Amino acid sequence: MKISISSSRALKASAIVFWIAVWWIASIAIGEELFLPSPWSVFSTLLSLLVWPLFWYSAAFTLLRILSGFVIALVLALLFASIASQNGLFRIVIDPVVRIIRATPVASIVILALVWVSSENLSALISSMMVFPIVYTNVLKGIDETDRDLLEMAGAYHAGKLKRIRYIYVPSVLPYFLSSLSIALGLAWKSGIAAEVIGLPSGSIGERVYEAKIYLSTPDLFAWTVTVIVMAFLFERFFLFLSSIVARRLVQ
Amino acid sequence: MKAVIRRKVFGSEAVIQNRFFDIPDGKCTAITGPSGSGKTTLMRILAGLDHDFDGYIENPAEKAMILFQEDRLVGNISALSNLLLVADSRWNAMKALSALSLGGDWMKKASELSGGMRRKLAIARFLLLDGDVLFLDEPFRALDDESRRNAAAVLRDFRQGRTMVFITHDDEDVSLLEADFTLSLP
Repeated sequence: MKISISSSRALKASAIVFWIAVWWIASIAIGEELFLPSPWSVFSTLLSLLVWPLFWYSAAFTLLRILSGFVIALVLALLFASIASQNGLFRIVIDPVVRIIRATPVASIVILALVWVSSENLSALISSMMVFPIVYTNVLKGIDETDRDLLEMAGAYHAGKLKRIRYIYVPSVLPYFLSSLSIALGLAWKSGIAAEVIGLPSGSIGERVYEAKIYLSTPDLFAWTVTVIVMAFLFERFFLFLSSIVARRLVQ
Repeated sequence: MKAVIRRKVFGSEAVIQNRFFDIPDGKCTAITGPSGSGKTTLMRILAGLDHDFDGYIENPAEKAMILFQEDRLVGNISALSNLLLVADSRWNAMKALSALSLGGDWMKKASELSGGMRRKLAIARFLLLDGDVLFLDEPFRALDDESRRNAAAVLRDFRQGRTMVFITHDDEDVSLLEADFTLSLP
């Protein structure tokens, strides 16, 4: 069955409305805000938060750190993958570190990282540590899978190094990079907020979430969670939009 | 250019054994022969792409220009970008595209082109190369008769008296590219 774009959007919106209705019915059935606040209660809490200056400060605090952690991880992953593709020894040395970071639970890394850095920059460090292995592994795979025939052709045609990167390596790596980006974007937020909830940097969203839990203010907890979801969604959209523009420019 | 190939093996099988090849300078030589007779292997050796053989080359090409049997295009970039890999300017790249009647398709991704258009794009890229010996492996593969004649005219013009070696299965290609000699592999 073919579904047009407009009816697909309508279906997606209907699915959201359906789950909000389920949430609303469940909250009425439970009848206790502490366990499950109603959508309206969360929405009104969110509205009251929006006019609170500290809300915007906390949002900016967390966004800045997760963004910087994400960008640092991207740059390092691209750099390290480029070096590892050319240098076997470097690849061997880096490999166990990447595997260990991938396998270690976020909570363990957060607690360990608290020993090394102040809680203020914890979310940046944790986000970058979660993003780095994903992007590094995918980009390296993209470089490794670059068509050998194309590389031989570029060599036979005496194409310069920069041109080889621009017209052979980048198009080969791009699908791997974009796929890792969509996974990494979500993970940066999840791990960053988890780090803040454990490390409690002053003024962060994580601290607000923790306070909501301590004071048993479930509507606040939900409102902050909705805030994080919206911010993560916008963050993801922005980066995917940016990368699609870059990708389009590169293929022209 | 002369080549003495005592033995060239793939795995345990000798593809070329105890052969001497003389490629006259400034002439056009066609290499023909059945599939598996070692035509592409011989061309790769002559062009300096394959050094793993027992033998030697006298007066090898200083700068070989090779049109590979496979198109070897980057599928997810535009036709123009495929040419910019070797072109020194967009202007020259567009001229090469126009010479092969691909001027209107410069923005299309290589993967969106038909087999014949991809071959023409590979030939257009070949026109941007610079060197003293032209090597072409089945240059008109996947081209229809008209495109084949047009491409042959472009390549004849591009050759400008330089040594040319090409592989073909088709006798018509021998006359289209005005081969001076034909080298048949058994």
